Amino acid sequence: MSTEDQNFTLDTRGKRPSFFQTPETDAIMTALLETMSQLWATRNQVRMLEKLLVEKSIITREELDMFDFNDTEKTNDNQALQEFFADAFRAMGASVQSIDSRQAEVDEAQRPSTKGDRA
Amino acid sequence: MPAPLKHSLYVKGDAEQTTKQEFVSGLRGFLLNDMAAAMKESYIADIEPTLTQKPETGEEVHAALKRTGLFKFYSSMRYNTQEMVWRSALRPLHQSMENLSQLIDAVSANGERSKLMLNPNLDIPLNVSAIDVHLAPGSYHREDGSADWMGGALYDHGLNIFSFGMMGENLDDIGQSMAQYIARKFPSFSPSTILDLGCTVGHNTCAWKLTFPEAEVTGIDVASACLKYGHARALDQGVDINFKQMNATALDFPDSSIDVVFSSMFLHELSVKDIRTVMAEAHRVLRPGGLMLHMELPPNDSLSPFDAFYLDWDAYYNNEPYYKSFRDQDFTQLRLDAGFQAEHLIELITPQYTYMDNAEYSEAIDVEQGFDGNTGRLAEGLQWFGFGAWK
Repeated sequence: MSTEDQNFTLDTRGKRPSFFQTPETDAIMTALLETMSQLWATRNQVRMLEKLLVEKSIITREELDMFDFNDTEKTNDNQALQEFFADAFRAMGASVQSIDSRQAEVDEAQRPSTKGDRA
Repeated sequence: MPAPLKHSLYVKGDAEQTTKQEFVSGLRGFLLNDMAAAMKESYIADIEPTLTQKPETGEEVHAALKRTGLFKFYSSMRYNTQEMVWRSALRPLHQSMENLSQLIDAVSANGERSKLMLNPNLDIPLNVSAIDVHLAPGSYHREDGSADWMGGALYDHGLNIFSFGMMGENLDDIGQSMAQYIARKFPSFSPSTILDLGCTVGHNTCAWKLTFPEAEVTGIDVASACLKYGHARALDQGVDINFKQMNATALDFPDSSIDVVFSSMFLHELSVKDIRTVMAEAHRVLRPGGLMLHMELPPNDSLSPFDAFYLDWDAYYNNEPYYKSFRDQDFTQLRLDAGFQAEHLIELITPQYTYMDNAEYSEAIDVEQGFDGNTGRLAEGLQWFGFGAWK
């Protein structure tokens, strides 16, 4: 999955240990920590940009701190936040089905009907 | 947090890369201090009391903890951060490969060629070549095409992120602490030849030269990538030491020719068989009155079962397969078997020299220290452990 040049490896040889009940959970932990790392880097870049804007007198600290979105923008932001929550948490609490059970259902649906033609 | 290393071979990434390195370092600090402490507390308060038999070994603690959520999260995060250490170091190094190659060549050209002796015919031993030690991609001997120093640069930059500022500003606190301890405790001992086994990039080798400037100091390692980089690194700091590509199990030095045989964090990378050979070799090359000294992790029999488990974690999950078998050894017997006399054995525990002023350090080493949970462990209250023998 590397995007770097072919002679350059970032990956460790060998199998990774699976600490959780499923390897997928281990993979999610890796994705989570990488996302956290990216979030931290982005946070710091925003802070850096804010500081530069203030230092270069493009904007004052007070203006940054006092800045407020207007009502329409706030409404839109709130809507966007709810959508973000819906996206992020969509799997939590959703009804689930084991893949064996799902396969059995699909297999059953594809079996020719014993009561004659389905068409 | 990792501060930039104090030499010109240090590669600083861009703002995003640097922040990611700080994140990894900070996360390691959190895991090794806060989360490790929480796991220990939980073990003592919640897990141990439920066991039918109180664990007496690190393995038994490991077995009891393995199914707990805290262990799983701690281990998963430790493993992932270890990968992230190397990944976050590698990208800036890869981007700066051409510049760093030129710099290494330029710095190396200023030194004597004889100070770097490579042996292209040396077989890289399996303990280095068969696995990516510490999960570092490509291990110590990694070479990326013309960047035949990459393994060294990766180790130097990775260790800086890994150690979250706890190993000295040039990662030399172990060497400085050990050498200063010997210089202060044995003021009449004046070595003229010092050998550092498995020196990697010579970060601790330099420390011996700084403490004993009159001595001829040599670092050996099997990985030429580390030696090439280490040679330039030492020259850049104005430290005059030799680097030779050599296996510590077959030292190319005459009998009774060396005054100090030192190593740091090296023995635990070797099989017990090789450790025995290394110690016998040390005994052979030492002059009478010379000192063998290994900075290492403490033996398992000196620690509580939980602390033994805690250090053994790396054997199972950090590609350091000999970590535990080394620490399971009887350190006294190892030295006696190598030919050293019981009355000449030495053990020491020292605080971190580069984090104290001179007077404070002298005072601290006058107080005899025992093992505790922080001996050899990167966490608050860290102390270094060393053991060896006079010949």
